[in-house]
Amino acid sequence: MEGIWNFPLERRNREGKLYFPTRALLPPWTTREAQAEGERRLEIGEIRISLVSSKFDIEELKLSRSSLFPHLPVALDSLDIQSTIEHEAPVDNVEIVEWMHDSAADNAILTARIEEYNKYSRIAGKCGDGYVPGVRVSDIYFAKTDGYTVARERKGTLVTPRGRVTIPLGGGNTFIASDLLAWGGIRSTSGIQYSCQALKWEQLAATPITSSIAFPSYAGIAAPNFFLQKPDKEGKRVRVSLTIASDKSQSMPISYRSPSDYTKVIDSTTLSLDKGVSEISFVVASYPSVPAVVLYAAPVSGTKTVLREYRAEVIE
Amino acid sequence: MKKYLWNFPEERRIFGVTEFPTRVSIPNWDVIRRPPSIKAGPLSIPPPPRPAMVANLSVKVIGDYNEKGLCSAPSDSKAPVTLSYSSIKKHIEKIAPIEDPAIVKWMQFSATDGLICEMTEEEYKRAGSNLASTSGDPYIPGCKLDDIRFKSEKGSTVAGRGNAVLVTPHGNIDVPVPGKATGIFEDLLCFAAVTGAWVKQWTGVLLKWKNLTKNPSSRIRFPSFSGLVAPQFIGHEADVAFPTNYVVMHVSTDKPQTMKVKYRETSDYTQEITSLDVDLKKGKNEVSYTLLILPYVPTMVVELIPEDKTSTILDDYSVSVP
Repeated sequence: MEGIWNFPLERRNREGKLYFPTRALLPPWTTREAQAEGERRLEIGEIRISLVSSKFDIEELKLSRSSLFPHLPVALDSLDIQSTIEHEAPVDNVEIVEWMHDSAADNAILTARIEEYNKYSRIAGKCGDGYVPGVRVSDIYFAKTDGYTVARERKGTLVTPRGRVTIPLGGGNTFIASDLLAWGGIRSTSGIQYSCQALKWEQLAATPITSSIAFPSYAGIAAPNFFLQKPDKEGKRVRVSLTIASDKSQSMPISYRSPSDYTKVIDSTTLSLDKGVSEISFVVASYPSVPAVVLYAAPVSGTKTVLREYRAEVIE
Repeated sequence: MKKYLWNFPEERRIFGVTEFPTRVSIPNWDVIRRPPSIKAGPLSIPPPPRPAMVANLSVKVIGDYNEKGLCSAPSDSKAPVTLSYSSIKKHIEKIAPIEDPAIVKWMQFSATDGLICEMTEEEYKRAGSNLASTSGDPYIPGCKLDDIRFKSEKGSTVAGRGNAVLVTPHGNIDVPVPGKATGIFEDLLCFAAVTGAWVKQWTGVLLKWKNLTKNPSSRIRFPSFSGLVAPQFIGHEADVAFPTNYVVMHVSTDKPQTMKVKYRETSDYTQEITSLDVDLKKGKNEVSYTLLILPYVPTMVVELIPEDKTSTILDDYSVSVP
């Protein structure tokens, strides 16, 4: 594994507290000047999208099972497996209450997605009750607001070492700081409790990605994903190809962001995907060479979306 | 400026599974003196033993036991900053009473464990490094941390068998119910505790040391979960290569106890270099001794193991070369 890390393993925030940035391993030829110049001059050619199959078959996607609940079937959304969990561990109001089914199903989805992403890099996450016992992942956590307040205000708060982000009830929100990427979702409230999900990208998965990585979906709330597009060698023109499967037609926003500052958007567009498996290809050109960039892709909530392949190959 | 190298890569593949090792940085003066690596994964040849001894052990009480300077939990600033399990649990019972229909008993235990985990993480982070932890019900919703997890089974199953199963990339470990187990592998240090079991649910705690702090100068607790005390792992680093190192550490304890101290190789944590037992009295103890290791005292991993049902705090740990 050769390259240059964009950020150190640990940093201190304004309050002097240690935190752990989201890191990306840049190509070994990267210099600060070449990266900045490459980002400034980056041009994206015509984006071609071709539908290679109108079939969306979960079996063919070769997705991971949950390591936490290996007996559960492969699934893309927590609602697909929730009834199995409810059947296995019915509510008794003594040990098992309703929100635990939500969280168990969410955790099954989350751990399967972590398995897929961590073949290439490192993402951490947790689903549970944001009030008690609480949801915390590394240095991010949900503020200990009770479910009644979350229900009344229709929102909760995800706290990170670089700031706070409001998470709408029944939705999700992405936190993007210059050196930190996180996501939070709140699925539902149940009295004093509320079911939420937190994700933190610790290291970005880099191209070439050759096996399926699904976008997590918690009762229809779709989380985005971040990848490092790293050309296989130094060059001025790079052919980018992605294969994405979607269970329904959707317009998926994507953006290129700078690995030296994730808040800096280099370019953005929306991919119009039909139901089935689509191949997306385009050429990226820059000078002195095409730099590594961070791809942010955010599927529409209510869809099931899987990245099957992602490559960035130098053609010139 | 000193140069350092990590002892292990950030990630490894073991039998097709991605693993994230526990790492410690080694100064360049130590790296260049080490023999060429003969290690190549789980089936590697262990490093040759180093002749080692501990001399001039001295223990003095220099103050009373206190809990000043410990870290609070960022997610709950109103939680008492203490090692007392019962005080933290009382706080949880107040903010999440069992009378609420969405709260059941195990959640209060788990939330208490979670706050203790969080405070410990903060203290370890303040010392300049990274300890990860989680607590929860391993049956549902499940309890997983990084690349380690509890096997999801019913409380009655683990209680009936007498043990729960901690799954790690290096294999499984049995954790007594209730009870604790420390996982020490070539490149991984972790801890698991089972603090309670009911018919379906049970409560578990997982700790994983990601990067080890060295010679910490600020207070770090030994987290205690219903009386089950976890060990702490830190790094021992001297400024130069020398056959003797003088160690001074301060340890506060709420009752007399014998604490085990084990020194481990950084190239393979299962390899013990030397160990000692330290008899601590109630209060703040100053522990000092000389380590003699040939040909020189390397950077090592120190495992500190207090007794269960104690409140123990590592105040600091320092190394000097005579």
